[in-house]
Amino acid sequence: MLSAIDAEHIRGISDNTDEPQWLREYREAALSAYYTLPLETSPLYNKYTDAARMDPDRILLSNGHDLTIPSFVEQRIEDLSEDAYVLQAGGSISKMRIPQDAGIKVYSISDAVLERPEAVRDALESIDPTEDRFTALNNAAFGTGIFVDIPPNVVLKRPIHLLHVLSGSTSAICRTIVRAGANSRGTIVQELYSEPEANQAYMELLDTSVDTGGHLDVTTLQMMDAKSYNFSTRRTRLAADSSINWYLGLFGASLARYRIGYHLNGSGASANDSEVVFGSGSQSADIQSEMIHNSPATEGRITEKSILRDKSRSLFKGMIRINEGASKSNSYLSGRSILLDRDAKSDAIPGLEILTNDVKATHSASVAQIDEEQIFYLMCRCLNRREAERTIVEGFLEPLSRRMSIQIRAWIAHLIESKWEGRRMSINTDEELQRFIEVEETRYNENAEIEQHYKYRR
Amino acid sequence: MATENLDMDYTKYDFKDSTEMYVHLSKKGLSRDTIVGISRMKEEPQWMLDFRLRSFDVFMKKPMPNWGADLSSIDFQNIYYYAKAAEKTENNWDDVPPEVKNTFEKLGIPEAEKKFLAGVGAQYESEVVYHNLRDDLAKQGVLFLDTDTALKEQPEIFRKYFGRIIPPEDNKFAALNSAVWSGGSFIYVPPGVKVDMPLQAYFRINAENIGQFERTLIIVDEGAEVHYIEGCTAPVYSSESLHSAVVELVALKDARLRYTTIQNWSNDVYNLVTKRAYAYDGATVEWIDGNIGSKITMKYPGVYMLGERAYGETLSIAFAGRGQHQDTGAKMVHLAPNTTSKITSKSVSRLDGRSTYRGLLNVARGATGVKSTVRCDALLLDDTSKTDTYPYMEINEDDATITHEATVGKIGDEQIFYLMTRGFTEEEALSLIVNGFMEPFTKELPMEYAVELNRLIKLEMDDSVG
Repeated sequence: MLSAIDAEHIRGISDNTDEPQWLREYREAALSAYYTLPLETSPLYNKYTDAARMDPDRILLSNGHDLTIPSFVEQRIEDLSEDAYVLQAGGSISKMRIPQDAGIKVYSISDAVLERPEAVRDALESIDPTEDRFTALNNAAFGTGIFVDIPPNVVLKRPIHLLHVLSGSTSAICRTIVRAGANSRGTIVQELYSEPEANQAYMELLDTSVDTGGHLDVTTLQMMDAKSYNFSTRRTRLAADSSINWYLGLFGASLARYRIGYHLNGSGASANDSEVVFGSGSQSADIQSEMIHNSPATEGRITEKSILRDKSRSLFKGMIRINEGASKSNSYLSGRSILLDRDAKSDAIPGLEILTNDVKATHSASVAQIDEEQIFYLMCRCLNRREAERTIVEGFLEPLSRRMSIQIRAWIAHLIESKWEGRRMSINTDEELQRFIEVEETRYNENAEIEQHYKYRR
Repeated sequence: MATENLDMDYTKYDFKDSTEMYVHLSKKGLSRDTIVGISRMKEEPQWMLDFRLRSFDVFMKKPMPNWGADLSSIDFQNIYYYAKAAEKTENNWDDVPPEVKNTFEKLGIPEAEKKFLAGVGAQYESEVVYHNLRDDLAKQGVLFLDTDTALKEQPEIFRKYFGRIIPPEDNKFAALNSAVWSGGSFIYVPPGVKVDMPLQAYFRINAENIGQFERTLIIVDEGAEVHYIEGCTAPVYSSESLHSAVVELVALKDARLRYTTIQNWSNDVYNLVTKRAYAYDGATVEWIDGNIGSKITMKYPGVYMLGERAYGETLSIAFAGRGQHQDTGAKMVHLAPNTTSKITSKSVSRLDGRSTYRGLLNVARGATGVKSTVRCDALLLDDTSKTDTYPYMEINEDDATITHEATVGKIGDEQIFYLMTRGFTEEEALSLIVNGFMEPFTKELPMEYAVELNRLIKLEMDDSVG
């Protein structure tokens, strides 16, 4: 049980893979931090946290490995036959396929400790356990994880898929490290699933860094069962002139608690973060997103949109922090919610901390219901009320996925529709999904036509 | 633009009177004895003493806030909690003790009263020394008293509202005020009476290490209207003074109440104030809040909209210069259907000053049809100035329409250049731009105050270029 986590459990994890002494000490130090930290460390947000919705007495931790793979995931893997993928089911990596020609190196975290000890140690030790209770827990007790290394100058043609499946019986604590080398380009798609009726927690810490001039597109699609819990801490460090686009779609889990931080450490770095929350039933999304400008001429953008039905709620804590010396930076933060039912609830705290001038920082937030005039307009076009609402919701969410590839946009559109219709969420290729891909391709073709114009021809 | 008016000397506020002529000065420090002493001296009824002692217990129990500005250097035992400079409150200016009279004359108070005010109160340290109200208003039943007198003369209405809007349990500094409060204004406007000119109170801290804890209670009855203005100044000392007021407002059905503050405490005053209004059906409450002075201000005027169609507005400006932290904002709590609110916050930071907007917008369950807009703009004049924005939004109804917008900017070199080509010096240009930025605020003030505010901004802006 999480509530009874102790040094012995931590030692068990270390013994399983015969970890070096430094890592054992690292875990122990983090465990004592975990014991002392409150659920929310920031005085700004101590009244605003939903983390207590997860009862640690009901979260089961185990050092054993459950290697069964649910059938819906098997099917998904077949679809991905050409791409690199890592499948993590239960508490361990059960399948991995990295094509030889991809030019990347992928390890399980325990293999990486042996084969890339310095890189792993640097990455682990850069995470301060005292900043958050669940960061401390992750440092202390991660039992599985992935290390992805994209070497300098490598340009990936196809995405890397990281699939995580939460089993029904035990929770998983996962540490994933992604390193993108200088001038590399890559796409990562992270898909989070759970077995049906799983009431356990998938807790991850995803540590990403992009070196000078590198670029990453990352998509996270969370489709876990509405009884499960999803805790995620993401720390992304960006060196000079590097950039990242991140799309986060939260559709599942009883509680999704995300703590997201972008550290723009090199001048010219830029991060574009898009977050979509689609809640129904009594789901709750508790998101804290920070854009931290540490260098001049950095650009940040956080756009959060939530659609809330039934008794679902979202809590959006956004922060732009422009530190001294980060002049000429430009940052934008927005949180928008549409409440579809009376019992839905949305809290937003879009903050700014600006420590120097000659910067541009804007934020905005709004909460509203669907505009009756828009509904009326669409109903005049022979849509019924429900269809009109759905069209507006899709139009509200769609712009956030525009920077992603056609394929990924189709998946996202498909998930939004599945959620709207109350269907089981998956992105297995079927007729339904094919339809979305066709729609996205037509959109693409519209662009293509313009590009064929002599003025735009390359 | 009449620039000659702007050449004013800050020493206007920086003069000190000796404390030797004081009628009473308490010992430094806070204890149950201090509180019993204050209450005895004021010959208060038992319930007030009980209220003070209960508040003291709350104060001792509550921790210091762990958010917001740095309050660690406040030493509660190094403060005088009660100082009385005159024997009683006068309503004839000539009867006010000469030293105190002199102070307010230097500040231009009686002059202002003649010109554009319907009533004036003046508080010096802990006690109100002067109070006057235009005769025709008094005849219509308007009450404008200092709060201590109101407790004696209007016990029923006083007890009905006192401490109901802001109970001592609200926060540590509200508890402190409730325990040691002294002075402040009490206003009651009877149904349907419209007070056409503003009522004003002027608060002055004179001695070093004084704590001023005034308590203001304003009740505007059905359909009535009033505009109340308070101004605050203090001379500069090397160690800190504490100003911790509690202001409770009640706007009954269809009443209108506007409360304007021009806070210009010297840069060694901790200004930790709790202000809240209850607005009933169709009532309007507006807080116009200007924070120019003080070392640290923490103040978030609130409106609780309890009745349908009530309207709450806060319009605030903050100016944070060297060593200052203006942590201000607003609270709008929508508890009834079809209520609307608006928050406009403007701040200017320069040197290492820090301005913080901290606001709460709450739409309670059942408060349908709520509309609210929040707008915060911050201007940073140099690369060491700082600004923060923390807007909290808690929305529990699906048909609420809420928007929040904030921007942080700096003055464009182009704007300065443009004005300089028109013959302004660089400083004048900067001053003009800042005045323009503040304009939505100044235009809400009576003209005389707007001029005064522009002067203050000019003072704050001196030497800001180069």
